[in-house]
Amino acid sequence: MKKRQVTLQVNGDYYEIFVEPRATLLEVLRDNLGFTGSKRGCDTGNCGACSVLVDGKSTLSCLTLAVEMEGKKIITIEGLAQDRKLDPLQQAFIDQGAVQCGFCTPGMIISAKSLLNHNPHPTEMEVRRGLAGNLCRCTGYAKIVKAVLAVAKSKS
Amino acid sequence: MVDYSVVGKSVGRSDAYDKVTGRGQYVDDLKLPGMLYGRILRSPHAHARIRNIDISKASKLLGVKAVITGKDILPRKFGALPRFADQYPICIDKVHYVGDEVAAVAAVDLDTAEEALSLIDIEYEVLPAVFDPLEAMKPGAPLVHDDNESNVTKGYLREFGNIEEGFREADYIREDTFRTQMVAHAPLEPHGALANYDVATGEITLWAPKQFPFFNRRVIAHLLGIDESKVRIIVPYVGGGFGGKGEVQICDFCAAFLSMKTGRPVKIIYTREESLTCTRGRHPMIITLKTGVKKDGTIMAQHYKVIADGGAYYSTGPLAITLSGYFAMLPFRVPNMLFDGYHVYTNKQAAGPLRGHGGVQVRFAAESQFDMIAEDLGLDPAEFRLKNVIKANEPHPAGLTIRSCGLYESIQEATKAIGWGKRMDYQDSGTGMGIACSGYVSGINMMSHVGAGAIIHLHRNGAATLLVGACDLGQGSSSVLAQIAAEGLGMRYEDIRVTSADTELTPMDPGTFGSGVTMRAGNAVKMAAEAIKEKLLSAVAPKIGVEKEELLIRAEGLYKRTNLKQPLISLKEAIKIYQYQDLPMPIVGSGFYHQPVKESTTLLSQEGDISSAYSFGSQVAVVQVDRETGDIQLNEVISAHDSGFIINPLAAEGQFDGSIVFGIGQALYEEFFWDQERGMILNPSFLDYKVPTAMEFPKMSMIEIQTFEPEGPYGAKEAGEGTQVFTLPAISNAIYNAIGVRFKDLPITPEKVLAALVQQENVEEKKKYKEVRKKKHKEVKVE
Amino acid sequence: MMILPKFDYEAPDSISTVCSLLAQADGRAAVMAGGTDLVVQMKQRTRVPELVIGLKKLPELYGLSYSETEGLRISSLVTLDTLATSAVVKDNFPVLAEAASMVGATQHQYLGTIGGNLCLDTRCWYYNQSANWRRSLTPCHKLGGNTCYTIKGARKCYAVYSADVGSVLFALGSSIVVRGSKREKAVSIEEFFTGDSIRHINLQNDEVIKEIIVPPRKPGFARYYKLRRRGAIDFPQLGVTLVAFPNDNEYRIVINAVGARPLRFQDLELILREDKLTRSLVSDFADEVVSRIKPLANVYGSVDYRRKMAGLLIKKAFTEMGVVS
Repeated sequence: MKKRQVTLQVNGDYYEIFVEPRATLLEVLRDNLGFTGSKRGCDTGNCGACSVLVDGKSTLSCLTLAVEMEGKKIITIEGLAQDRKLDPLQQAFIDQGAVQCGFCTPGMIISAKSLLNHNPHPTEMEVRRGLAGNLCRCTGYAKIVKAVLAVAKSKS
Repeated sequence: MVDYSVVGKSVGRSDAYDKVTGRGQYVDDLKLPGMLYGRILRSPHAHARIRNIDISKASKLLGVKAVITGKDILPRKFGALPRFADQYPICIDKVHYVGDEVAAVAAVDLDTAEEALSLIDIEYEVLPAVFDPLEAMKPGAPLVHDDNESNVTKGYLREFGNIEEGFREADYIREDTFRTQMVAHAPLEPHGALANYDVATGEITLWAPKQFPFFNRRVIAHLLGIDESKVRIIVPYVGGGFGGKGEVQICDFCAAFLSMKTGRPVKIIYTREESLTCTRGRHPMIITLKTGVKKDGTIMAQHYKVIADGGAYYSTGPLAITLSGYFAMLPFRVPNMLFDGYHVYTNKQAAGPLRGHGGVQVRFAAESQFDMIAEDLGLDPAEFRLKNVIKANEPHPAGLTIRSCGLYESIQEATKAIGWGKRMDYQDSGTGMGIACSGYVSGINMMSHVGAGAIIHLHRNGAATLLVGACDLGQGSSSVLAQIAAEGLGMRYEDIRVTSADTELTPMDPGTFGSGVTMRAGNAVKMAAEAIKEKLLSAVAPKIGVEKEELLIRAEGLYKRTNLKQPLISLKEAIKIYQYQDLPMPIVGSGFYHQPVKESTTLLSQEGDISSAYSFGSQVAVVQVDRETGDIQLNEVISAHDSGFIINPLAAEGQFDGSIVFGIGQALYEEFFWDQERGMILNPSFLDYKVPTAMEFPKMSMIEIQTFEPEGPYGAKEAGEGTQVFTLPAISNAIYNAIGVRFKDLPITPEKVLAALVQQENVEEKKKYKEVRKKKHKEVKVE
Repeated sequence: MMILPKFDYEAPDSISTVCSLLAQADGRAAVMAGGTDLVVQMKQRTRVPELVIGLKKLPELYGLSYSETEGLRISSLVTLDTLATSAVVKDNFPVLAEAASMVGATQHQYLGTIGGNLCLDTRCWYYNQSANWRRSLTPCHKLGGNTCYTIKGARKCYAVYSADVGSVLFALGSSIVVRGSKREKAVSIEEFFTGDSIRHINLQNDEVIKEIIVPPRKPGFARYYKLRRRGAIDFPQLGVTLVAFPNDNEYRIVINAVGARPLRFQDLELILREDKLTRSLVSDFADEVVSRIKPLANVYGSVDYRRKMAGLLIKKAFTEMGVVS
């Protein structure tokens, strides 16, 4: 129960935090470190809005304990752009009209990034499957899938 | 076709960068120093009297700064409109559904707040509850609200033409009953609020995802017993609304009240469970529809009897029922109509406004029945519809004024694109094609005083700030309004900064509802741009020796209309000329637009237009049904929609896609399951409330039917609400074509398909079914 | 936000420490692998362990290997994603990879483990709810009370086991290597499931699953069918596994998501051995199975539909295997 010191690597920087074991990664990212980009849509792992990259894989931060994340490479939506330049996925989401209310967007882009990390040339079905854990109520998904396929194509 | 610079172009959304980088701030991302966290205690009973509440233990818990119950609030009720006020923000003497609010706490952290809730002791006297609207209508049913005589509240009765004569003249009549289910808005962002009471000034600032902050401000002030001028509502980024973030939420009130009590900011964010089950949902409706037609398919008369299950509170119930009545009048000509609708209280989560408000339900009934009638008469469903279309500038049976209408073309285009001829071959093959149409309001005008304002400040450096009260819920209104401003001013889209939905700073706007922002605020913005141009050109023209009327503004500068190649002066120079005449800076232009409908037109008391413009469209859906598993596969959906002139095609497409998938959710996946005894929802989560995932969306395409709406800015009409309306019946009609089973209640699930197929196999049913199909009698009643 | 309850946390790097901590806690501790079940239950307060023992730091729990003599050895922390994508699994037991790829969505497969899926707690509408939701109801059997909200008057719990991978492992005749504070033992998966909805697996308070062993593969056919409403996220409404060894005339059919454990009806399987395998024989068998299973209305999905689909999926499995006439 007692708080303990944990060092987290988030978006390339190291943060020392002092947290209870029960603190989820989502809470720590949002409340302790101010990275509010990852969202709380359901807090029970059913919507994907909290997804962040942990060692390159899309991870439900609402179900992850911060104390178990030491030594992991964590990237949130805030860490995707490099040197003020947007990640191709971020740009594609803008260009393809895949952003509406934007609440699902951070988690969706993270899951897309995770997908392309592991499968650089996915089929449409593979994209759908890769994003199926991220709910969206605004876009109907079509432009989101289109954006991801566009990025995959541009890299080949 | 006019070639515009900015409108009509798929420019990127102004807020997209914020959203893809995680920079965009939604209410739960906001923090203030000293902020407390609030939680709400809810009734575990569907219907009970509150006998006693003991908050002493909770109040004493270390870290708890305030506990409030119904005893602490002013005994003032509120509702979606003042005349529908039936809800206390915290229940005082009675609870009306499982989840009704009975207390709230503010504490230094959520843990403490949660613990405090568990220390509140409440003594309830459980009362019999009623969950079924038909049961609730019976005399002797438990009364959901004691101050009513019955659970049947405001209805809507509307007749035009001569209904008896209409049916007499019909060659064929049929009557069917349809049932639609409650669905949730389920935006990805749960409801929530952050309130800050300024002890020095007595002012409350509320940050919350709201759709009509100006209305909300009035209600909050009334409930708190303070002057409206002391309430400021600022709407941050909104993670989806769909009608569910319009009314004042209990978290808004509690955060504000707790902040007043403690003198500290208070934030309350709902859990997903609360957001799904303790706010509002769509009105479930039982629709009995009797339609009479000539044997050539001409509609002669329609009689609707609609029972809307309103749940525990009015919300917009009476409005929903009335809107259903109006949506019965669109998009086809019904010369004689009787609409008889009732709103009924039950002890369940209240129903309220949800995208397609009232239209979704009645059009599911009407468009399904049209197909049934067409089949009975041996007519093609598309031909049937073409025969009955409303056309622009023709007198409408109910007196609606339709200035633009692409319905006819939309049916033609959609059927052509899908290859409608295949439908006859599909019959009962397992693959099916179905069509349905929609007509929707473009800026609902259901009362007076719903004008929208816009103010533009043109700055010294040639950039402009646009102030609008209209809220962007994610549908892209801020971007569209910026486009309209840019076009009107002759400036670049990138140079327009939008500040929206801050009741202190932005002009009044009725709100984001009824598909009205483009129509209302868009026109206001256009007017504001004109006002600025007038000021600027009036001041500059004489100084450069040109007639004002000869001047044109483009992003790079001022041009003579006769010479667009060479600017006379740059925009910045022009503004400098203006400023150096010692005229006040920035250059301010304001606009105000109120739709041209009758003064004091209210849906509930007077007839007339409910909007200054209407959108129209058709959709054809192709489904594949597996007869063994009941599985329904949506192969393709082609829609053709008349949104007038589309200001931002890419954004509109996104809205079309989203609304169609939203409709697919209601048609095939979404429903609440209930513990029938206790009135508890068994699936209050995204795990078991089945919002469609990326695996569920079909191939979708949209054909734009270009019309020009004289009332809309640049000819624009709504895009994204009407398209939900035709989705449900198009799918249902397609399923009928595929397997010969007609579904009259939603959602259509594999379970229901299999059960219906089994029934179909039953020889007796098959015989009767064949007979019915051949029958051409005068009157057939089928349940 | 749903805050987790307070708990102590340890992440030992040796399995014997895990067992001694478990022994000390005597039922008041929980082990955590991926957390997709445990964390949600803790948020809902259906499980409130005083001590959470993280297993991620145990190097011996990540092994994955196949040999002709021992079979497929999968250590308990191997993720569902690894199961779904690794060549070792896909080449030798594609049905296992398939089942793993169907669990939840991608994110659940990255977090979830084979051990966690095997031990997936039983589920019910009235159990898997938040503390606030359950406040108005006295505790049911599974929560330590003595009532059931699914079946009025029921004297026991009827919560449902629905693990996709767990049920396939059962069909494959796996064995579970369990490590306790005193010893390590191998238990047949048949014995691992108790059939009781509350204490649904045979694990003592001081025991943790170390490894799952699938016997060496034999020529045959295997498929897993998951019935669910959406293409992702959902638990199965029903699952059917067919593991067939035609050369040995052995056919195993396991039903998932009905009852407290994966269900197999070995007496009915004898029907399939009677004669040459034909469609009508399979149909008879399927009908018999359908008449035996009793899905209840305590999870998503209509009872009739799930029962009907069980029969259909059994027939489909055999058709895909190649039973034609």
